[in-house]
Amino acid sequence: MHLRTRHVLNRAFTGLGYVATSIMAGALLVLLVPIFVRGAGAIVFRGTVEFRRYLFEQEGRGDREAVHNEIAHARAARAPVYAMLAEAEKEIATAPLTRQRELRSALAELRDAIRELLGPDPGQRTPVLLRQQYGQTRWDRALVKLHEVLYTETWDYSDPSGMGRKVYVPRAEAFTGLGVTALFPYVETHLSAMLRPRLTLYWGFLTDDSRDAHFFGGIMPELLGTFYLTVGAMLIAIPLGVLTAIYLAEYAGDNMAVRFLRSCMSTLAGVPSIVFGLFGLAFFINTLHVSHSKSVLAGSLTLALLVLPTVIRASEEAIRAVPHTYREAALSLGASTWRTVCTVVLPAALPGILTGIVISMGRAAGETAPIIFTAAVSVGVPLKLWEVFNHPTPALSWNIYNVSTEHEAVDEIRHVQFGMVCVLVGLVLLLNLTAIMLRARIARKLKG
Amino acid sequence: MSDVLTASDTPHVRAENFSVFYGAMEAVRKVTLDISRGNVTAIIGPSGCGKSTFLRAINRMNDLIPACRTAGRLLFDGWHIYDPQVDVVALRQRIGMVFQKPNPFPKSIFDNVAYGPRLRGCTRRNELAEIVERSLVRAALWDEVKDRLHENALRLSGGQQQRLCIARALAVDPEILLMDEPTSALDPRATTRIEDLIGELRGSYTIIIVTHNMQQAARVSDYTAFFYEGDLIEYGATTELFSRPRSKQTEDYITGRFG
Repeated sequence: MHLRTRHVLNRAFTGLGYVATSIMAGALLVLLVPIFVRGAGAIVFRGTVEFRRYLFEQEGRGDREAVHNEIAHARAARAPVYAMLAEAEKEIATAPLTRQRELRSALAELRDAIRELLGPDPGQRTPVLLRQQYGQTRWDRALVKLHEVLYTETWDYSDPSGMGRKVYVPRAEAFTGLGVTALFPYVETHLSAMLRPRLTLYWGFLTDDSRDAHFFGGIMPELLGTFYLTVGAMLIAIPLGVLTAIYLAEYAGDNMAVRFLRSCMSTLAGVPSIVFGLFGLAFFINTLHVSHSKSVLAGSLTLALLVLPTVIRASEEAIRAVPHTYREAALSLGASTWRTVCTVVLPAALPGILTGIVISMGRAAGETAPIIFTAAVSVGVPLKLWEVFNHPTPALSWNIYNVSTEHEAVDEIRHVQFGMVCVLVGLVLLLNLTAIMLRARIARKLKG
Repeated sequence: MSDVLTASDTPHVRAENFSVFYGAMEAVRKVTLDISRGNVTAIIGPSGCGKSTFLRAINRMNDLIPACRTAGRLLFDGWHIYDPQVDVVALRQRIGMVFQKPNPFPKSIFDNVAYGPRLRGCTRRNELAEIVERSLVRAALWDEVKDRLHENALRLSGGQQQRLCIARALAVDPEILLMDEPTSALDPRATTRIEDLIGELRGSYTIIIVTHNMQQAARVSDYTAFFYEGDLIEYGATTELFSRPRSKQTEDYITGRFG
């Protein structure tokens, strides 16, 4: 081959590498940036007076004086709205009978929309559900609700050949000729005065319990649940996995039984996680009765089973990679095999073993399917340590699924969903980062 | 060199029709020789002649190779080395070994030397420190490392690492020191230091050294054994063997006609 051609080929290959790496980096950015930006919205957002009222009344946080003051100001700004509504009531009573029925139902709908936006009417009995006791706590949600106050949604089927089209009709049209039409421009222009949005830093998202199924509060129970499940899984998987790896690498020969064991492990690594979940339910809960129903323990056992092949393989490879000369040296000094393993082989293999462990931790923290049947519930309080043996727990992975699909008001709490995703991704990244740093430190120490 | 010979009733190591097999291959064939106490015995021969295999048979390092088995008798101080009753761990503590490539553990210099004593249950700081110092002094390394005992051993130069390995082997107070081409990975200066060290250790330990380097064998050893294709061809006092080889093969080898 000509030298020229070889150069060109070389350069082309390098170029391909660059392109592939850039595409990867780009994809990662496209994936991570929105997660972190939108996830941050759960902690940093424009909170309204309703949010501060909630914090003060439910969590006892905030300055009484300041909050009361603010509520008073907001009430003053809202007073005209309720006055206009009351006025409308009277006006409707004098309207032609044929229109009264229609007007009443329009007014009821308007009242509902305003309740969604600002919270219960003054003088109304406190609703039972927490979510109905407060208006919109977040300004971004308030703007959505404002739109719902100003417009009604209908479908336009005028074109028979096409699909129906969604159209927004100003709600004011229903009240033509009534004084209450003035309410709409008022709400639109005075929304800020009525809700008093202010940039809010809500760290409580990470440390508070959830209230009213994630309408309010934070994700502490989920965080703690994920922590328990992951740590529990690792407590089971690490000793079992590392011991198995030691056996396979140092003691096991190459016979039928060992080969069979190895292929079993490879198969285990490829089993879909939902199967592990069902197995966990059938075996740990229904057969072994480790707990009478779902529990952190059963979940941890199932997750441990899931990550065991990874732990074993990574550890075995790390142990095999330890130079044979170390073993020879230790044995020649009169060390028995197990002393050699404990004092020389394992310390030298530690970086590799750690990598496997942390990758598995990330996996255990993120898996959803194995805990659906064995450990996870959608709503719960943080567990005490001794409760892990017989209590189920919420967990980040499962609750992300739950609040984005099964929750009764998915749209209302998108920020919780993104917050949870962000925290979970952050957690896994943090774990991996720790692993990389730990590995580098130990490797440096070993190299001297 | 005969003045350093120590009188002794029994040979320190005795092989009687001793063979080592790797599967069907006979790597060492019916070797019979006596290795005397307190002397340096060199084993020379071309690659693949079975000299390393024989050396590693003495402290049973070949046990690590599954297909390896032995025949005949190999005695250490009159004890059968391959008796099933023998405690291999205890045997290896009495027969130390230094390998071809310096292989310090990725631990501190101190921990390397203290490894053997710790295995035997010595945990007292003072006692360990004393053993470490004594061993490093004997291995002629103390002056170079006394101020950095807690540095990683892998930071030492190759020659220093090999002397550390010797110190590590000496720390368990062996009677015999097996050296498997201990200088083949070292530069000439480091080689000289190791050879000097072997000279200093003569008398206190029985040293058996496998070497590719005939000048080295001539310089450091009292006795030399020449192995060829698994057979012991010639064995005798080094001066004798190098000046008046009895066998034609030995002569060809030491004059550089093959190997």
